[in-house]
Amino acid sequence: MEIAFYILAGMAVTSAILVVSLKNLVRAILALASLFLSIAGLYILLSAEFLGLVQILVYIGGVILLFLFLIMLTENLFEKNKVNLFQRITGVGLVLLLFSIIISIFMKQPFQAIPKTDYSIQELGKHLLTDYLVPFEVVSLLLLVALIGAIVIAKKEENK
Amino acid sequence: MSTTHYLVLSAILFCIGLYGVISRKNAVMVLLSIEVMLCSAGLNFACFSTIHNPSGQIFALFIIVVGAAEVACGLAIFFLAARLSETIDLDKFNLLKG
Repeated sequence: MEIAFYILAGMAVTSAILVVSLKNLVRAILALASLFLSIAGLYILLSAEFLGLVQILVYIGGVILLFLFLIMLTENLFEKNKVNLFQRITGVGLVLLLFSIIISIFMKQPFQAIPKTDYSIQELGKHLLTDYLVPFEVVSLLLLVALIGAIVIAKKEENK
Repeated sequence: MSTTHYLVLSAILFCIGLYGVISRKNAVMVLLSIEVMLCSAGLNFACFSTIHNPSGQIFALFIIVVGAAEVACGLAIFFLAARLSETIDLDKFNLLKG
């Protein structure tokens, strides 16, 4: 368990750093795919198998494909990628500040061992359709509206 | 294994994503960094759901759905912007003179 966690965590951190630092957009997207894969592995380690499978299906199957299609449709627009030194220094400073605040909060909390849990998919489904019925419907409506909105926004206007 | 391992990992991922949002200029790169931050939030929820109850996993599911919707809309907007103004550099989007 421990070794699997450290391997997956190392993979996740490495690919996240690659995502924010690579200049080539296609390579950054492939690094994001490897990040999603390692996060799915971490979900499965946390005995949230359904969440891991959904992560692989939606993110690697859908989101990564969307990004790659956008790159394919607009070829040459993505190559001017200068990073400002001032922005980079500000980013590092702010992020280190935030990270130190978060870690100092964690250090005050007691270590809590992860218990052996196993929520079945049936249990999750019952929760989704009883306690969380309204948020579930709202989220499905949101997804529908977002997809229709994306089509409407990106459609070519033929009348003009 | 303790929850602190997972929490520190997701804090690291969140900070890396935030750095990407602050320092990149390309709009699609900013969207990628936001995805990294959403991933870390989902990992936090899944971690706490092992201690308390399965609600955390349901919230992580909602985060995945919202992330997918955000990517679809964001990419459509950037696609339109790229067609209209030939660039997706966020510093060049200054039509409103803000």
